[in-house]
Amino acid sequence: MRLAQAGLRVVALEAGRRWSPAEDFATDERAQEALFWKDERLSAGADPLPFGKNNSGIGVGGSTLHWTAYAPRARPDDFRLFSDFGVGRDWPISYDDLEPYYTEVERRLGVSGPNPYPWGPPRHVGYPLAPLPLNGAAELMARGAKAVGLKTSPAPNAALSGTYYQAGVGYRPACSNRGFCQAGCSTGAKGSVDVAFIPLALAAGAELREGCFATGLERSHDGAISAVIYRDAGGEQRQRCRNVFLCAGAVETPRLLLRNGLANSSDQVGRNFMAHPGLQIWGVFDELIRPTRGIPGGLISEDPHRPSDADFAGGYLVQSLGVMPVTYVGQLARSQKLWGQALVDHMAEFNHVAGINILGDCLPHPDNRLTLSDELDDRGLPKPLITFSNGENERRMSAHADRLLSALWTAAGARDLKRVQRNAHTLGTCRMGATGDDAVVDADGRSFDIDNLYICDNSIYPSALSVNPALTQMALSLRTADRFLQGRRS
Amino acid sequence: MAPRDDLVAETQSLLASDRLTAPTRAALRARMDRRYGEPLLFDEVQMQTLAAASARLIPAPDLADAVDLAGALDAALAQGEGDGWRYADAPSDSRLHTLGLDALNAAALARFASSFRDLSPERQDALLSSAASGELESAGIDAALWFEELLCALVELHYAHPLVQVSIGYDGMADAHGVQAVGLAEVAQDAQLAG
Repeated sequence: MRLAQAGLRVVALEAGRRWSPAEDFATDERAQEALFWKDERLSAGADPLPFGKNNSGIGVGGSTLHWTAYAPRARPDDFRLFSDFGVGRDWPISYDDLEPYYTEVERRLGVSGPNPYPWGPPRHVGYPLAPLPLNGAAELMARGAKAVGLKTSPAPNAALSGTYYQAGVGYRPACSNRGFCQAGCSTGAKGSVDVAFIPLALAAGAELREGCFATGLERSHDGAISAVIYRDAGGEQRQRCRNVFLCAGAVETPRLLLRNGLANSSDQVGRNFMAHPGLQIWGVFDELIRPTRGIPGGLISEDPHRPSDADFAGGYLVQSLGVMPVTYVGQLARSQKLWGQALVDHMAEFNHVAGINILGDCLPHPDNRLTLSDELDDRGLPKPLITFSNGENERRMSAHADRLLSALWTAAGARDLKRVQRNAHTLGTCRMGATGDDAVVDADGRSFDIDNLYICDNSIYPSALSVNPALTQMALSLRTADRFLQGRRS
Repeated sequence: MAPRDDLVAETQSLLASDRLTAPTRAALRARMDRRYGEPLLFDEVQMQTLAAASARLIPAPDLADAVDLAGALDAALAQGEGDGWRYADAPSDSRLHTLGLDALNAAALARFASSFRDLSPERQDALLSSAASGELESAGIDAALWFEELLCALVELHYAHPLVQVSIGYDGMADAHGVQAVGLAEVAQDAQLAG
């Protein structure tokens, strides 16, 4: 959007297709699996990560198509974990560098949230819309949090609590509380990238090509990228370019670079793969809840951001959780191995189920990494192998959270607690840093090795931050674009 | 066993109603009407083992014939409907399930001199438990990984079926009537008014 609006000729290559949500999106989880990246990824390590569902997306709008729409900002101290704790990494930019972009993204998406927001630095500009209505899980979390002394607030979510208008986008309707954010929003109430940014990019003259899978980057004799090689329905294609922005995410971005032997003089490409600890606690309540109703993460607490009794670095936030039935039962099967009569009896009470979860920082570790496997996929390309193990810090944090969440949910009236240990999001593998000795890109997303190669996705996170990543990623993207444009002018 | 007449009637009535948008109706209708013919991937014994294991993993005798989990899993695997990842230590999904079902039946024959299908439910459960804990003898695969993948695949197929969803009182597919009630009081009031 930014680059096209600045008058540059922009071609966007998207591996997936373009959707018409009103006609294409069913309120049905299996039908919506077309939004997930289904090329097989191999998972190893002590805590192998599930991919496919909700950890990667395909289509115009990318993973924001199945984004839950959580939109909390990172906190200033998230960016300086190493300075504060002596572990992890500092970011080469600060909260203040991103602050104006947070404000811009919140306005563009139409984030619904409370003013003032109870945690973090004071805001110059508040959320553009009032919070979304609280669903059953949110009300119950408020009840339990009060009992255990945790402060809560309606959460910031990138779904509209009222009709919203923006020039170039038009009117978007208020959220209908369908609760299928992770299966694709059929109304345009969620501020996914296809809704909030792509129309503006196209209006400014950007060209968007769907069904294009990038396989290579061609270099000229001076080492600069001169063209992108990609495959579409017609075979192999070549698009000449002056600059490339690689935005394929923390799996496909390093995979492309490793396959082509590019931008890796630091030996950091693929390393420090991170995934947020995301422990969930579910319970059955006497109240009728209907767990799909409403925005899934209605209530938030950032009180455990830096817990006073922590035996770990960093911290986490707590969110209430609504859920769709197939997702719920699949998680129970994988995490709890619940089967037989116990499973059927539990699912008979699905309408009375509500959850809470955490989103916690994950320390980078060089052995948590993406490499290329020996196996080839349908395209004839090596499948990515992702090795991931939670470290001592993540384990301690999850144990701390387990105590807090279990007490909170019991106080709220939950019975039959179910624990789902999981990690969420794909971060790292092409981290940014101050020097090319130990980082792949600089603070502006520019490769240390190749001057006209930029990476603009969550692979560049040097540390995981203790918040859901999408809002920060969008803010970072706008900043990267502005820094690029400033560099051209000077 | 056939599903209860009133459950079928309620589900059919929902699918025919104006409570669903067109894409939602199309997805659920297709799943409701789907029938599986000859197996595409598994052989006869594997299908029998799978059907018997499904009946113990998700005991729902009145729904089993209509949902046909064995047919659904066979079709999904044969069409190469992967889920985007697998454990690096496991073979392809199709091979994992084929070897797993073979191992389960072989264990039944070895321990009880009977095919898995013909065992008592208690013995079937005992063998499934040993698969879940990884103790089942299984050449070439980790039985615990197989059990996990089997259970995940089956529960997702089962609880996606319209009959099953209606049977647990789930109504989230009813997406055509605009803004839905969300709060505890509002949801309770809705239920009261609906009788």
